[in-house]
This record gives sequence, C-alpha cells and structure tokens, in this order.
Amino acid sequence: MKRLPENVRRLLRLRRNVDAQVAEDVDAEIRFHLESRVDELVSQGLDRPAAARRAREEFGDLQSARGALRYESGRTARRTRRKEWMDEVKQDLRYGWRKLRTQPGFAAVAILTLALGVGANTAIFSVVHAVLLRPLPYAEADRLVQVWEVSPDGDDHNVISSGNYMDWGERASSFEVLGAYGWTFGLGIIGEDGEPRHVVATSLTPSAFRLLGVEPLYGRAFTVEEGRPGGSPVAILSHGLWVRQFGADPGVVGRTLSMNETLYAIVGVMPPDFDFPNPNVDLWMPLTFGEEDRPVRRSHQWNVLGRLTEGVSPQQAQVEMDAIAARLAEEHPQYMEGWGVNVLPFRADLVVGVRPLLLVLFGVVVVVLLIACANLANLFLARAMAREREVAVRRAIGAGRWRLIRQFLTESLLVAFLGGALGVVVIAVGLDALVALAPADIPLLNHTRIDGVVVGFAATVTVLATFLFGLVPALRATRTDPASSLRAAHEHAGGVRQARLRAGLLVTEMALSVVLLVGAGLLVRSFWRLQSVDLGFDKERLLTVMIDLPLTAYPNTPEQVQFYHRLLERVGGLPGVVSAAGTTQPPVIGYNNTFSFAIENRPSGDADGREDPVPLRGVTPGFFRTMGISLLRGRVLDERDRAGVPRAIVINESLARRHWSDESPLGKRISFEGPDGERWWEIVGIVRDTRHFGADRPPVPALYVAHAQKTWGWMSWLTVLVRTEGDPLAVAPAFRYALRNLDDRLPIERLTTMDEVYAESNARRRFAASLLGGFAVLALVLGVVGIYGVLSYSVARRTREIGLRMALGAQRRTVAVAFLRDGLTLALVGVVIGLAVALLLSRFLESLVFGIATTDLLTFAGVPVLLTALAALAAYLPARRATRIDPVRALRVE
Amino acid sequence: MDLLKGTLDAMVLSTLSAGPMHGYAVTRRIKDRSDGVLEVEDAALYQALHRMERRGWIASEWGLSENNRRAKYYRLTREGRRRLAQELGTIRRYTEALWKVLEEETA
Repeated sequence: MKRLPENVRRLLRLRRNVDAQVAEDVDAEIRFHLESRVDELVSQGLDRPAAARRAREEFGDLQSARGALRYESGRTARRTRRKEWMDEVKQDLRYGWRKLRTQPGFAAVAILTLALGVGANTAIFSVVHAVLLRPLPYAEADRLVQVWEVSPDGDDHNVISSGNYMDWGERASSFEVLGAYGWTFGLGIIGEDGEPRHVVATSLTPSAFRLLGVEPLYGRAFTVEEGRPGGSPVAILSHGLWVRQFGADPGVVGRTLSMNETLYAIVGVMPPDFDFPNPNVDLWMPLTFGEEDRPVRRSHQWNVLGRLTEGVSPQQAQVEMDAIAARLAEEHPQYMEGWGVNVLPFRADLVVGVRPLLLVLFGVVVVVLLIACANLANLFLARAMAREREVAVRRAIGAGRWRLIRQFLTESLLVAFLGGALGVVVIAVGLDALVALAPADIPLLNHTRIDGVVVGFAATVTVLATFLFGLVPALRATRTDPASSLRAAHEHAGGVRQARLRAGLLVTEMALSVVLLVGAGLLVRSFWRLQSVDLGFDKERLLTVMIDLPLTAYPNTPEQVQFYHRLLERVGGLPGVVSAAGTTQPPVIGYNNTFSFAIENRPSGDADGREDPVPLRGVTPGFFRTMGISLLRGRVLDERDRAGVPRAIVINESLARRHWSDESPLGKRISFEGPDGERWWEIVGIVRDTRHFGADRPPVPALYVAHAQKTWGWMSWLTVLVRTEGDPLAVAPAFRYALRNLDDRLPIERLTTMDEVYAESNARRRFAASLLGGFAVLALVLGVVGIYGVLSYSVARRTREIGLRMALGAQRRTVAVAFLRDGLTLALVGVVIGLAVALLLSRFLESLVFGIATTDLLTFAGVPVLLTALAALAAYLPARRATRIDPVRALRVE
Repeated sequence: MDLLKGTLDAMVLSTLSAGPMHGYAVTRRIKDRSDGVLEVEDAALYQALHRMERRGWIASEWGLSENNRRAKYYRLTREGRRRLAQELGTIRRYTEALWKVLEEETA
C-alpha cells in the first residue's frame, strides 16, 4: 500500500469524517495480520486457500472484532485530535504573546483602543439594559400597565379623579388588580436626635402594593382595612430611611413614628432596591378610598397602576376602558364630558422620555467602536504585511493556510482579551462616572449594575470586534504566493488592492467621525443656547428654600401668613441679603397647582363656563422685585393687598394675550370657585412671562395672587427666595437659625440656589452633550491617528519609490505635496460621505436639540472645516518625512 | 486454557516492553513464548491492543513492515510501563496466594 504525502493526507483528514479514516485503518490492520499469518502458514507448507481458511479461523469473529476495534480506535482518534488542536492553540498563544512583547508600542495602542471601545460600549449598554431592557423587579411586570385620563384639551397623561378610580375598579374586567398612588409629598419627622427632618412620602392603596408584589423585608404590606377611610395610621419604611433613621434595627416593626403631630405605627420595612415610584421615597402610607370619595370627579389627583388579566392585551384593555369612559361621560356630563382614558404598558410609559437619548448614546458608542475597529484593522493589516516574509517561509515549509490564519486570529484574540480585560476596568470606572453624571430623573438609573448579561455583552463585543479587525488582515496576509514573497527584491503584488482596502477603511472612519461630530456639535450648541436663554427673571444669587407648614399647627391662611411674614422680616434683615420674598410655586421645582377661573361677563365655550386651568402662585410683597420680573402695565402686588381688602390679581403677558388680546385686562375681574360661591379678584397688573418650567419650555399663562389674600387654606407651603449680595449659600446657616427661632420643629424641605435648580433642569441636555461630545472627540482622535498611521506606513513602504523619483529629478516639494494630497483626498471623501449620512440621521436628534435646526448650518459647515484642518495636520508630518528621504540611502538594496 | 482478561493486558504490555512491534508480531510472540499452551484468540488480542491504546498505556504509529507493507506499530508509554509493573505485582501476589492454598490442600 502506497504512503501518501503528508500534506495531502493532513488536508484530507481535515475534510474526512474521523470515522471513515478509523474504519479504513482498522481494516488495514486486520488485513495485514491475516496476510502475515497466511504467509507464515504457506511457508510452513500449507497451500494458500487452506492457509487463508486457517488464518481466518484463528482470528475469531471478524465482524464483531471489526466493530469493537472501530469503536475503540474512534475514541482514541478523537481524543488525539482534540489534544493536537489544544497543543496548536497553546503554541499559537505562546507565539502570539512573544510577538506582542517584541512590539510593545503596537500592543499598547491596540489594547488601549480596544479597551476604550469595548469599555464605552459596555458601560452605555449596561445603562440601556437597566433602563430599557431588564425586566422590572415587580410581580409579572410584563402585565403591568399605567392608566391615565385624557383631558378634553388633549393631555393624555392626566391624573385620575377618585370617583373614576373607584368606578374603574368595579367595572373593568381587563384588570386583575387596580391600584392607585399619589405624588410624593413632604413630611416632617422628629429624628432620634430631636432634629426635625424632612422625609419624602407617598400614599398608595393596598392593592397597589399587591400589584407590585414585592415582599417587605420585615413586617407586612398594608391590609385591606387600612385602605378604607378611618383605618389606623400606619407607615412602611424604605430601606434607606430604616438604616438612616432607625439604625437598621429589625425591631422597628411595631414602633411608632410621629409625623406632623400624628402617631403612625410602623408595620413594615421594604428591601433595599424597592423604589416605587422613585428612589427619593422614604416611606409609604395607605391611600384610602371610601364611598364619600366617589362623588369627587372634578379634582384629578391619582396615578393608577393595573395588572392586566391573564390573556388580555393593553389594546383590549384600552377598548374596554374607552367604553367605560364613554359611559361615565354620560353619567356625569358636567365633569366627564370630553374625557377619555389612556392605557399604556408601564415600562414603555416610564421610559418614553429617555428612550431616544439612550438609543442615540448607544448608537454613538457603536460607531466609536467601529472606528476603533477600523483603526485596529489598519494597524493589524500593516503588521501582517510586515510579516510577509515570515508567512512565506512558514508556508514554504508546509504550514497550511488555515493554520496560519488561525495563528493570526489567535494573536488578534490575545489583543482582544487583553483589551477586554482592561476594558472591564474602564467599564467599572466609567459606569460609576456615568451614573453620577447622569441626570437624576432618568428612571431606573440606580438599577444599573454589572450582571451576567452585561458581561456576556462585553465578551460578545470583544469576540465580534476581533473578527472584524482580525479576519481580514489574516486573510490578506496569508494570500501571498510563497515563492514570490521570498524573492529578495520583492515589493508585494497585492499592494494596490491592499492600499485600496486601507483607504476604504480610512474613508469610513472619517465619515463616521463626521457623523459623531455633527451630532455632538448640535447638542453642544443646543446646550449653549439653553444657557443664554432669557428666563424673564434673574436667577443668579437667589437662595431658594422650600418650607411646608403642618396643617395641624397652622390650619389656615391667617396663621400661615403670619408665620411667613415674621420669617421674611427676619431673613430680609440678615447681612448679605438684598431682599427676600416668598412664592407658593417656585420655578421648576414647585408643585404645579392649576385652577380654572371664570371671566366676568364672558363665559367660556366650555360646558361649565370656566377657562382652562392655569398655574396660580401666591406671592408675598416684594416678590416681583426680588425675582427681577419686570412689570409691563399696572402695578405689582404689595403690602396693601392683605386680608379684608378687595382681592387683587396680577397676570402674565401670555395670559393677557390669550384672553384679552384686543383690550386691556386691567380692571377686569375673574373669579374662582369657593365653598361659599364665586370669589372675585380684580386684575391690577401685567408682568413679563418667565420660563417657569425650564429654560427649554415655553412660557405658560399664569396668575399671581397676594399670599395674604389666598383663599386656599390647604396651600400651606411657601418657597422663600432670598436675593443675596454674594454667594447665596453663605446666607443659609443664618436662614436656618432664623427659622429655628420661629419654630424649631419645622424641617426644611429643600435648600438650594435658583441657579442650581435650573442647572438640574438642564441636566439631561448637559449629559447628552457632554457624553456625545466626549465620544466625538474620541472618534476624532482615532480618525486623525488613523490618517497619520496610514500615511506614515505608506511613506515607509514606498521609500524606494520615492528615492527613485527624487534621484530622477523630482522636487522634494512635489513629493510632499503628493502625500499631502493623498491624505486630504481621503479625508475629504470621508467628510462628504459623512455629511450626507449626518444629514440623514440628524432628524433622530430632534427631541434633543434646542434653539437650532437639526440641519444647523454652523455645525454642518464647522465640522468639515475642523476635520479637514486636522487631517491636513496629520498628513503634514509624514509628508515632511517623505521630503527628508535621502535618495542614496533609499536606493541601496535593503 | 482460558485466560483472565487482566492477564491478557499484562501479557501484551510485557511483550511490548521488549520494543515497538506490530499487532501480528505481538500475537505470535505471545503464542510462541507460552509454547502453545495459552491460546489467545486474535480478535481478543487486537481488542486488548486498541483498548489499551485508548487508555493511553500504549501508543501507535503507522509504518512499513519488514516486507514493505503498511502496518500499525505499537509501543509502550510511560503510563503503560507503570501499569505493567502494577499488573505484574498483582499477578505475582495472586499466584503466590493461589499456590499457598493449593499446596495446603494437596499436602
């Protein structure tokens, strides 16, 4: 039997089934045995046929032997193959590691690039995962829906009235459970140390607790009785409050807590990551509903959560609720006409505001990673080309092409995993920074953590990136024809194709960088625009202190007014204070109470004759001066507007425009509903609009009444605004002292500066702009480094050619210009493509830009200029190097 | 006479300790050295060879025989040598014990 050449055999073995080979070997072995025995018997005198028979007899059961031998050999063969493969991989790894160590510069750049790319991607992904993807920690969270009312003027996230909630609960079969909860409110508690402290509380029905399905750490949830009016006052603590205020004492269940002059029994403590409806909540109280609440239909207050019945979709629930809403409108036309219902999946509704931002961010880091991979591919390609000789030698002595490709890939994987390991460090640090910098109102942000999914993502991205930047160079490098590569004076034939590939990669990098830079430019400009918006008042040096008086101690307007008057007097006299005033609704952070009013002798078109509700603010004398809001006509409210005299009201320009566009509103009267009939107010002044709800929100029509004349006793809160000469926070200790002197059990709900308040409201934009800007800069650096690398390499490879040209008379200048032109052409092509793509994609930033169009000219023009300039710079250095080439040295045989 | 399976392994290993040889040579050596007393079925022998190869006690390699035929050669591995020593020890102890008992009876 002939022996086949080793190469062919190995190649064949790769293709063939192990079993076929094994079967063949077993047959060959048996055949050899039988032939040998036959020969021996023949030499002892038997004739061939007899010998053959004897030999076969001696052997035994041929068939079963064959089977058994194949089985054993099969197992051996497989084991050997595995072992060989493992050995090869180990060899590859060792070799690759050695190679990397001889090129530390390359290794460092590659590993760092990859670490940044993978790290940034994974960090953003873990946020995306926590906010958008990971199942919520509530029972059967995929069946949770939020139910809103839809107001006649189109607000589809309107809160719900008590009566409606109760009727829904009874009539709707789409929901297994329906629960309600209110907004958070502040309470004062006296701490163990006697210090008054402010806690954030929220009330929710026992059914809401059941809906969420989270077991308390200690104690129990609310009982059904506690959800009925007249139940005993109970409270459930958050984990944070339990640790902070009660020292994490497990015996806290059963103790009482005094809040606003009432004793509450603590019945439970929740686990650490329960933060419904937001992470600020310190404790939960039961929300009660009884028959006396059913008639309440005009006042809308509650948020409603539901769990869909098994098998019911949100759309089906919507249909049922539409019908129920229609019936309710028929039953109570004066309140419910024109009102609808909106059923939305809980998670989707929760994150609808941040989804665009997060997806944009994720897209951005993917692009950065692609750019990084392009750079890495170029790097590896250059390196692979430099190892041509090595490859050629190895192939000449018989290494298979796939074996070499595997070698290259293993080296790439080595870089990838080192990069990935470093990337983990980047992720850990980056994630902390990300969560710290991010605006606090991103829902579920505090649930971000590195879990199995995130690690899996990082690993997948690493492997994918490896194939992206490792495979192509590996293929290219091993494609060379061994014979020609070994020739001494060889300039690789694949040069043109390879150069085109590298150029293509570079153009792609440039284009992607342009896209990112345009996006970043738009967001940064938006943010700057926002900073310079005229707010309608002066937010600098304005201390802002939110105070809420307990109704038990200050049950009505006179007591409240007296307290605040005393406070403002004292504060106004403090050193460093220019003036002080108060408002019931400060910008951005205030409770937005809206009231509907009627205009005298001019009923509106609505069923009840009243106008749409607008914000109403109770302000103390000197408010407009302290805030810096200009008066346009008439007068502002001052000391003469107090209890007992005709009530005066000031409106802003928007309201004036809306209702009195062609006449003067001064002297006109409007009314609000009171318990004893309509109460009338006379318009005495018009003031400038303010951007009350945020720098990026348009002004809203609003009303100002004198705090002393407010008729709503329950409006016991006031935010004190203190205009200071210097740093507002320097006055804070004196303020606290003055407050303590008046009432030492009163906590401060919040103390900050107006500047900070508006900074917070811009937080989301700042976040987007800084992240996008940072990534864009990263992409830019990568791109510029890429140009520099490619051109440097090009100069190095073409040294001989350049030397030849110069020897033949080409000017140094011409040579340099040629390279510069090469570099700039690449950059320009990339820029043009990038601009086109950016133009297409910029519409996705619609919700995030402010004050400029998504096709803002300055950005779209500025970015190409910047990029081209940098590209020219990056090309300049290699070009200059080209001019320094000494023709004599270059032409010498290498 | 029938053989215990363990002893077949020991015989093969012992034969190979003399040097690498192909399967046929192993079978002949065993049959010859026992002066024909021990009849080993060839199939059983080959199964033993392949089984021990799987276990790593012997290793194989394809080569050319004396008359230029393709044959599978087996040799002892280090693990195989260790195993051989173990088996020899076990068999010696077993036969010594067996003799002791038998001698007693026949004495």
